[in-house]
Amino acid sequence: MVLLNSSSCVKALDTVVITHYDITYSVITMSDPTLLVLASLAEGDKHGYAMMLDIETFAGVKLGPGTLYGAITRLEQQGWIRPVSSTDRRRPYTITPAGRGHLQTQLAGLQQVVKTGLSRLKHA
Amino acid sequence: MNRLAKWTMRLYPARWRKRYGDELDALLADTGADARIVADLFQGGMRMQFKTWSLLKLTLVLGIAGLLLGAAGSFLIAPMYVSKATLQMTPAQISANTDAAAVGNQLNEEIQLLETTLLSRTSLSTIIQDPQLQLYRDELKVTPLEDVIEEMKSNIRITIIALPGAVGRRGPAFDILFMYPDKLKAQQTVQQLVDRFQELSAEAAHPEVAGHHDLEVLDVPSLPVLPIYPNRHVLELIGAALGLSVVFAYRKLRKKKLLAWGFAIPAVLFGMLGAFLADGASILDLVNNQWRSTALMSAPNGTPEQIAQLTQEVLSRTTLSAVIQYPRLRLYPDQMKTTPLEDVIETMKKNLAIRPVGDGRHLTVSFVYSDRFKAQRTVHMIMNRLDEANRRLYGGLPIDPATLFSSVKMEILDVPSMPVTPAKPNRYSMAVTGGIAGALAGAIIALIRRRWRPEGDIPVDAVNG
Repeated sequence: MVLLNSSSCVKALDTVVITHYDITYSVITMSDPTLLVLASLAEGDKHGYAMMLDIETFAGVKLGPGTLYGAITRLEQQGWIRPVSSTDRRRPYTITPAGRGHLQTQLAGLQQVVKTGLSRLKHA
Repeated sequence: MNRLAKWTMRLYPARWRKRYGDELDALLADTGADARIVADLFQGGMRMQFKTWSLLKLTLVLGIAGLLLGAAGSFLIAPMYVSKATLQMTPAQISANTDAAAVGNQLNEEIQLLETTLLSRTSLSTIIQDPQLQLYRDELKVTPLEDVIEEMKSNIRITIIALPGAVGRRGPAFDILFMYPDKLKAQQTVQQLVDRFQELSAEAAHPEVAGHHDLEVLDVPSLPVLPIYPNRHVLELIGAALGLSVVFAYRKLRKKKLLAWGFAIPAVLFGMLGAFLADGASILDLVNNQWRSTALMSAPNGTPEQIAQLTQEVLSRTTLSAVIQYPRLRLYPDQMKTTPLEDVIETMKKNLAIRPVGDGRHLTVSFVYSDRFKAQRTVHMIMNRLDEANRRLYGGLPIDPATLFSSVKMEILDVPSMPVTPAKPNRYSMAVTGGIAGALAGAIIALIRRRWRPEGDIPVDAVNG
């Protein structure tokens, strides 16, 4: 049996608070291109142009090449996506398990806000 | 447009291009290029450069940017021209056994005294309002005369200079400088200042021709602009410190990094808020503001002892009680209800200062009070009382006995110069300052970035094939 001492309790609480803060922050910046790229890759591997078309279809956001590759660079740095080996110049990317987990957390937070907002609108 | 887009891709760092260049090129082949895409690539390229630049590169680039900005900014500032005249003061009669150094020292003092008179509000307002000169015309439309006088005062310099061989019979030389946006007016103003200086010098040398003013008002009582208590700068500092402490405590409690924008920005904002609140409290009179009004008087014909006598007379119980209870003034009304008059007089004595300046023939009258208008009116009344006492006691102060410097002559060494190049802005120094500021900013950004996000690297090794 593991007993939590007071300092680890505080640490755990701190983590919860910070996670909650991160979710809230992501919700505010839900047009963040990294989130859009992750959502696009959640469906399957895609190269840059395929991602651009997909994002435009499901989010109505037309990402420029500079913005898209800025997001790809950041996501690869974080280890949330990785390139798939290919002989084509159009290199596809795949979402990693860590990236999937991150996307899930972000979307859960977003869903909570959407749910709350819609219910409040209904009762208003 | 395609060529422009390809060129814009070159703005990305080489390492990044090595890793993603082919992919981005292929993407551009699919999307085609238009102005929006070029702008997006430009923005992305700059952002990527900024993220990956080394300390040296960031310092250099921001330094050069600051240099260019400083140089460009210097062209936006209106040029100021300086006109200069050089004068020399020489005693006409000097005995053989007089110490030359002592003569020089006394003449230096004389110049300083004349300078005080020349730069007095009365003297400068005459020059400013001269219809031929029309100085500070635009400022006078929107700013009170008092402020324009202060501005003019800050643009005049009177400095004693060392001339080679200026010993013995010749007295000290000095420059009169004036800085103004119009070079012709700068020159004309210096001419006026020189004329006025000579007039004042002649009046000082021959008091009998200076009229029969026993007491002259050089500076009328000032209407205070800022309270002397509380000191707003101190309040601002306290507010800023409190603001910083709040953010510091918050970050400490939340166990967050102290060296991050998340700390720095709220700290600065809270600091500014604290300073603003402190300032606001003072402006809205929520704190007990204290204002000081000051006037400058001179008694060219009086002796320091006589002036001390006059001061004593004015600070007497009778005079002060009359001032306190003067119906239009009514000083210390709250204190008068609860405290005996004697104590109120003592309070007033603490706040009223009549002090000799310079040679003891000039004196300042200053009064500190919680109402700035009453402070000014009180100084007025005290000056009137001084004048009354002067007439009553002496019926006119005796003329000073002739001294060694009773006939000092002024000699113009250099007539006011017509300025050629502007003295302000100093474009070279502005560009250099901009460069140094930019370089410092670059170094700070690079250091913070290194501490905050040490990775910042392009994942070059992540490609599997």
